Amino acid sequence: MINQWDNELLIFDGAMGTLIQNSKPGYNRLPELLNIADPELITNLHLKYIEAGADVITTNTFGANAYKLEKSGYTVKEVVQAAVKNAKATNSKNIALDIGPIGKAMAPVGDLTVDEAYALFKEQIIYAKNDVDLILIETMSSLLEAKTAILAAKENSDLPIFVTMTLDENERTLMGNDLTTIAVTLSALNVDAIGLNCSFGPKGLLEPIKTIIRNTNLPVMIQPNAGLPELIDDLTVYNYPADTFKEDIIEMINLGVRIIGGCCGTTPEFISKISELKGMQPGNVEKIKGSFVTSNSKTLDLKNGPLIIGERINPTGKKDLKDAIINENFDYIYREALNQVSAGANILDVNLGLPGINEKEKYKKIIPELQMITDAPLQIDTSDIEALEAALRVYEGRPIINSVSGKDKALHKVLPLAKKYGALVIGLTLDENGLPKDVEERIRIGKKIIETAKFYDIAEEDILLDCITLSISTNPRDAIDTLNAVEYFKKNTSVSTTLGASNISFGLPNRNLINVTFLSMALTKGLDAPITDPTVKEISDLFNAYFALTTKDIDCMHYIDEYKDQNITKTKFNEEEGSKNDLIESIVKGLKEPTIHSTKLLLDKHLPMVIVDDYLIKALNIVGDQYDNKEIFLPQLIRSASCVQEAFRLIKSSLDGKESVSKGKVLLATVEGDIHDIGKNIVKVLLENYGYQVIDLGKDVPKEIILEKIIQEDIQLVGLSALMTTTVKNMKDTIELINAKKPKCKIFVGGAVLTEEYARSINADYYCKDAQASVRVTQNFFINN
Amino acid sequence: MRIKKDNIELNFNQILKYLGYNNSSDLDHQTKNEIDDGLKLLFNKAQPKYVFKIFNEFELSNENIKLNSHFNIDSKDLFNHLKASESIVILAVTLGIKTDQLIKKEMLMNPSKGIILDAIASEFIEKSANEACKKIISEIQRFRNTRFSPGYGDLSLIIQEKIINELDTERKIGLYSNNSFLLTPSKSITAFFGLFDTKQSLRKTCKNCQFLENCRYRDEGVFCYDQSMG
Repeated sequence: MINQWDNELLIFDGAMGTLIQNSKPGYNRLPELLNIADPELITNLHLKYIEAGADVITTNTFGANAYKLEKSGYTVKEVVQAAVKNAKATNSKNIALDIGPIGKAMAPVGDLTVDEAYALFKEQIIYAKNDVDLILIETMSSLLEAKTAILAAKENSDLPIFVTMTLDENERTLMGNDLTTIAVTLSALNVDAIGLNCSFGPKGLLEPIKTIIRNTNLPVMIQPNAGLPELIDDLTVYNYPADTFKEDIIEMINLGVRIIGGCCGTTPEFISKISELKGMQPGNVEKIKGSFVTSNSKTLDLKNGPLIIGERINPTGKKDLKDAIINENFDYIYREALNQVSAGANILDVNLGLPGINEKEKYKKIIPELQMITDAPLQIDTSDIEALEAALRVYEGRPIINSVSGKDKALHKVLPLAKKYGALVIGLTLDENGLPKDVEERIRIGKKIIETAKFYDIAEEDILLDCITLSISTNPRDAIDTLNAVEYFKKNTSVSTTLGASNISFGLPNRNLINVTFLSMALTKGLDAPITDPTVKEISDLFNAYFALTTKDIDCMHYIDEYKDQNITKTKFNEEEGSKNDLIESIVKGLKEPTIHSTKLLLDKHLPMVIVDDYLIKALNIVGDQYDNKEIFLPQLIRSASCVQEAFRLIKSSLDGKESVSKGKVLLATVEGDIHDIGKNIVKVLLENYGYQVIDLGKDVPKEIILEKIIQEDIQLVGLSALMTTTVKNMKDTIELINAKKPKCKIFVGGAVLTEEYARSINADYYCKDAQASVRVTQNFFINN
Repeated sequence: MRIKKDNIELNFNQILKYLGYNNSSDLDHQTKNEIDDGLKLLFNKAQPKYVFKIFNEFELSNENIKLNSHFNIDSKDLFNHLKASESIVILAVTLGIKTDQLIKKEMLMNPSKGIILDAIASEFIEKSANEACKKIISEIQRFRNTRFSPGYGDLSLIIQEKIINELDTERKIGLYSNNSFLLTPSKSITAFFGLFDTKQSLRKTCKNCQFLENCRYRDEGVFCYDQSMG
């Protein structure tokens, strides 16, 4: 349908709300219910817009989802079908199914999961799809919610899809999505038109729409409000003149906007004015060129690199990470992510592959959390197709898929997914014959990948080729061949290039030297996205120098800043090392660097368990007593605990899996209905530092899940927290369930709302008035058991 | 609507209270530095926003407040709080999602800074709510009484959903309630207050608190809240 209007304007309708307010003053139920209560009114309102010149009318279904209709007494089916019927009664040939936001925040900010949102959108679509001509997804504040609606539309209908988002005053959505990211992500999802609606009046949308236009090749749509609202005597009133609105729209059409309608406050008069512009030619739009990868709030261009892809979130050869994935201690992974970003990683590779785990479920949990704490785009690194698709569905933005090989079977499985979800994809130049033997084979396979991708309508700009880094100790010519292949592709195609650089030195001494030199060579050949570890000093040094040398670090400012104090820091360090040898003192004073140093020195002399008992626990006990005596307070307690955490990390990594430092397992959870977890997290930090393995189920945890975990992990001691009177009942129920099914399991409880008497009355075994008390209870428990 | 951050003054001692200190003299140097860092960070990144609605017409009867045909509240304590007022205001304020993200990030990397940031944010939202109230009443030249939020006394949390809908907070300021009627982003406040033509007391009181009989602050002779403004 959009094709009928090639190079011509398409006019949508204006607001329903204002008209309803005028026709039925005082009506304050859901507007969608009028489809059933007063169908004639709705049909007449549609007709008013058609008379005013609207090419497309939108059904009165903005909030017609099961969540919003829950208490209305009507089903989605009833409302949507009535709405469609009312629109059809106008005999309009162009009816858009209007879909607005569900009304709940997407997880992890809120508790609406992608699967739940999908189901709610799907429901609206299936009842209308046979009777409407397109789907309009509008007023979205969350890119993830918009994407989910798009998937619901694509997978349940064949209709054209138009998507518009709504902005906050700082030109991002309320959930923080920026304009470039919105344009890039929605365009990659292959919808039929994208744009902005609501937000403010037309003047406020002028600059934002320019950004959208610059970053998409799709037709652009705008539905502004009639200026900014005023509150007059309890009523929201819009006072913007329709003529001014028209002038503003002319400016936008000149920029290239093709599809225009009106949002809050607009009336048939506005649409009438805009219709006078029919026949106007939309301005010419410059085609975009670039290879954009995004998070939910940042877009990076691989053509403007090099971009560092952090490789650390990969369990191969990393026991700590393996344990973290298996035990669902995801905080470890999040910290790795943040550390890499601090060290200079632009993009993060996320590999959770371990035998026997449900990779799909891990991705569904981890990706949203990662996206909450960092704005670095992510690279989904998996060979499990199901896990890949699940990850692609929950990713907010445009990710990179790592990877697909040149094997036919793989290409035809992965490339369609890349296309569907709009992801960039890394192609590995190996195929059914195995690893490439020379430059020619790398080039041949790379070309095959490009051709096959073309078949799926994937452009070269959306591909990264990895020409495979093998080790020069087993394949002497490998560095030369790989680099020549990189050069070839950079010169002759528009793909980006990537390499997992660390393999090159496998089997050789002084690996870092080979790695950084290889990386330098590759960068000069045009390597766009090295997959490497920026937390390794030599690697980050290399990039600091590289950016200075290539003028990316303007005036070498960052370089100078990084290295100017080098001599001073070194001396200071040695002094501290000398005088603060005492590990206990460092912990008690909450000093991180001296703690790390002292621990390292002690590890050379003592057994790990000795360090734990004679130093760490001793220090913590001192700190605990100081806290109880109000000599120190919570921040200091936590600081000392963090120091112990650092010491523990060093100790664990020196153990190599031969021994465990765990003194016992404890399960922690904040009960269902409660999302306060700061207290529980403090307990967790302390218990871990005291040597206990903590399984943290997080917050708002149903009792059944807690029980399941207790059985699964054979837990003997559980800590429950609740901060609200309303959720204490859930605590009581949880305890009841545990006592019934696992009577031997002991339970300690904490939280501001609890008292000793109450804890007793709900059959908790121990009451802990603060974090320290939890530690004492745990210590006593494991001594006696 | 945005709240001008310049107009907001945080009470340092109140932040200390949230962190468990009863006396600022107990404060150590490093914690003070971390608080200062946290203040800078939050003032830089958080943008408090609010939205409100004034009801000049409403019905009061039998411990029930009827604001319009579909907004009915049963609460003896709220009823008592509002029964003498000439108008009723519903207010929603939030520091936004960015604040939650910052706290989460900080808790991961540096837990002592994380809890400090959390405490600062709690104080920030309280003072933002006060500032929003100030703006509202100054524009209409009336007086207000203290804020009364869901969760106080017998005012059930279930009312959050109604407030969210009535004020359209999702669309206007990105404030939602979740399945357990908790607000998200977490540093947010919704509240009722009454408007009057004469000055009212803005002193907060322990009267309606669930911990009245069992409060560790009262046992020590101090208050959990900032006594200066409600």
